[in-house]
Amino acid sequence: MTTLTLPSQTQFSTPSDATSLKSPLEKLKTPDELSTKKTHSLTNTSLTALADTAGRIADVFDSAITLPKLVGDTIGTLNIPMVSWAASTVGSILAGSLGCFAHGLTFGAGKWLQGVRRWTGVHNGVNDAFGNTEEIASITAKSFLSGVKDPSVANDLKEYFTLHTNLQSVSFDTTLTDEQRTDRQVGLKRQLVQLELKLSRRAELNEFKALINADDDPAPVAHKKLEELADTMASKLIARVEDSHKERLGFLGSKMEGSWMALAAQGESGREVLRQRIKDRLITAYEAEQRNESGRTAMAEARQSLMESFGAKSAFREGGFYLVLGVLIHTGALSGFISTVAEHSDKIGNAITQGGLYLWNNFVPEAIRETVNQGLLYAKWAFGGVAALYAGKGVSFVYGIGKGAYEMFGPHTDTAHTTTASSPSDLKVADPTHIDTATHSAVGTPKVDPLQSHLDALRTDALASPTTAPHAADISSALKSNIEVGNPGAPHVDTATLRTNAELKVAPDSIRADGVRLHPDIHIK
Amino acid sequence: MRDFEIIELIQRSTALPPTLAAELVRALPKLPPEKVEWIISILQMGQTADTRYNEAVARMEELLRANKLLVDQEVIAVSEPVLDNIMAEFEEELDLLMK
Repeated sequence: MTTLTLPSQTQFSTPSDATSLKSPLEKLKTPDELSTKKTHSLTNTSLTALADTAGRIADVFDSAITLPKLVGDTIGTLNIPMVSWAASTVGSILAGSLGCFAHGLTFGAGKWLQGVRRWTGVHNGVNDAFGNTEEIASITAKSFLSGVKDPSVANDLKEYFTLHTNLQSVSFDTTLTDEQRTDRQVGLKRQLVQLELKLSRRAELNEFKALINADDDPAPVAHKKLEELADTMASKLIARVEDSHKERLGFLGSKMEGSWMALAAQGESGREVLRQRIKDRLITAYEAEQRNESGRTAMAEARQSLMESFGAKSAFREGGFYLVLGVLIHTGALSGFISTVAEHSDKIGNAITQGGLYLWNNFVPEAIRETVNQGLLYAKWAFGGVAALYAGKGVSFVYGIGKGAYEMFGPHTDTAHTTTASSPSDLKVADPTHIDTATHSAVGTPKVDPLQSHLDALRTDALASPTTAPHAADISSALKSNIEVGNPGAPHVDTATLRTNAELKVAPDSIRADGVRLHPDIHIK
Repeated sequence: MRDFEIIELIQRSTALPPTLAAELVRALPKLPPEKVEWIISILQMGQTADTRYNEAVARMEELLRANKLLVDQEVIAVSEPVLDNIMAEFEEELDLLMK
C-alpha cells in the first residue's frame, strides 16, 4: 500500500489544523501522530461517544435500508392514541436525516440518528428478547391511518395501502403467468395513480407513501447520500491540499493571496474535473469495501448487538430510576418534595396517559403485564413513571409517580408495615383526568374516580370523626383482598370496574362481616 | 447483599447519584422482604444490561479498529488505508493543480 506522502502531511499537525477541522480526513496527521491516537485508550466518555458513532457506517450508508425499517419499527410499535405523536416523530426523523446528508465524512451523528438509535434500540431490544411477530408494515399503515382525521382520506389511503400490498404480492405470485402478472400490475398501478391524483393535494399521501414505500428501493437514496458525502470529502481533500500549499509558502502565502485567487479562478474547471474524479474514486472505494462480506457481516452483527444492549440498558436504567424514586416516595423520603411540586402540577393532560399507554404496551414485557394484571401493581408504576418522563411535561410527571407509587406501595398493599405514602388526594393534584389502571387507557372525558372519591370521603370522615370513621387503609385492603383472592365477604370491586361508577352498586350503611363500615358506594354481595 | 454493594448496584443500573442511592438503602428495610427482593432483581437485570452494553461497545470498537474505520475515535466511511491510496493516486495531479 502506498503511504500518504503529500507535503501537506507535516502541516496537518499544526494546532490550527488540529482544532479547526473536524473530519477524519482533515484530522489525518503524521503517521506518528496517528499511531499515538490509535493507541489511546478509550475513556468512559469516549466509549459513550464511540457508542454514539458506532453505528454511523451502517446508519449512514445503509440508512436507506435501515432508516425506513427503523421508522417502520418505530411507528409500528405505536398505538392509536400515539399516532399524532408518532407522525411528528417520524417527520422529525426524516427531516433530520435529510440534514444529516450534508454532515461530511463523519456524518456528525445528528439528533435524528440518536433519536432513531434510541427508539429502535429499545424496540429491538425488547422485540428481540420477547419475540414480536407482528407484521410491522401492516401495523405501521394501520397506525398511520388511525391518525388521519378526515375519514374519506383515511379510506382512500387504506385502499391505497391495499393496492400497494397487492401490487407487491403480485410480483411474487407464482401461480400467475407473466402475461397475467403484467396485466394485474398494470391494473393495480393505474388504480394507484388514480388515487394519487385524487389525494395529490393531501400531505398525508406523501407521508404515507414514504412509510409504505420505505423498503421498496433503497438503492437510489443510498447512492445519493454516498454521492453527497463523497462530493464533500473530495472538496475537503482539495481544499486541504490547497491550504497546505499556501501554508508551505510561508510569508509568501499572503503575497500570493491575490494571485492565488486569480489562479484559482483560472483553474476552476480543472479543479472541478479533479474533484469529480476523486469523488468517483471514493465512491468506488466505498463500494469495494462494502463487498467485503465477512467484515460487513461482523459489523452488522456487532451493530445489532450494540443496538439491542443499548435498548435494554436504557429501559432498565429508566425503569430502575423510577423504581427507586417510588421506593423513596413510599417510605416518605421525598414526600415533602412531592407535595410541593404536586401543588404546582395541576395539569397532566393526556400526556402521561398516552405516554403510559405507549410504554406500557411496547416496553413492558408481556409476562410483566400479565403479572401486573394479576395484582403486582407496583411494576405498573415503574413504567408509568418512565412514561411520564417521556411525556416531557416537566414536573407533571410527579403526579404519575405519586399515583403510581400509591398503587405500588400505598397503604392498601401493605397494612402490616408502617407507611407514610401520600394518597393522591394528599398530593393535592387537582387533575380529574381519568386513567384506567387496568388498561392504562385514557377514556377521553374526565371522570370522577370512584376510588379517589371514596378515599376522599373516608378522609373527610376521618377528620370529622377520627374515632369512629373507618380507615382508608382498611377499606383499600379489603378491596384489594377481594381483587386478589376473590374474598366473598369483601366488597365487590375488581380492576375492571374499580373506576366505573355504573358498576358500583349503591348500598348505604353497608357493614362488612368483620365490622368495618364501608363507604356507601361499596356494596357487599 | 451489603449496603455498599446495593449502592453500587443502584448506581450502575440506574445512574442515580450516590445520595439517592444511599437513601434507597436506608429505605429498603421499611419494605417487605419480597418487595426488596423484587427491586434488587430489577436492579440486577439493569446491571446485566449495562454489562452487555459495555461488551457490545468494546466489540464494536474492536471491529472498527480491525477494519481501519476508527480514526481518532471517529468512525470513517472509507478505511484509512484506502484513503491513503486514494490520496496517493491523486497526489501528482493535486500537486499539479497547485502549481
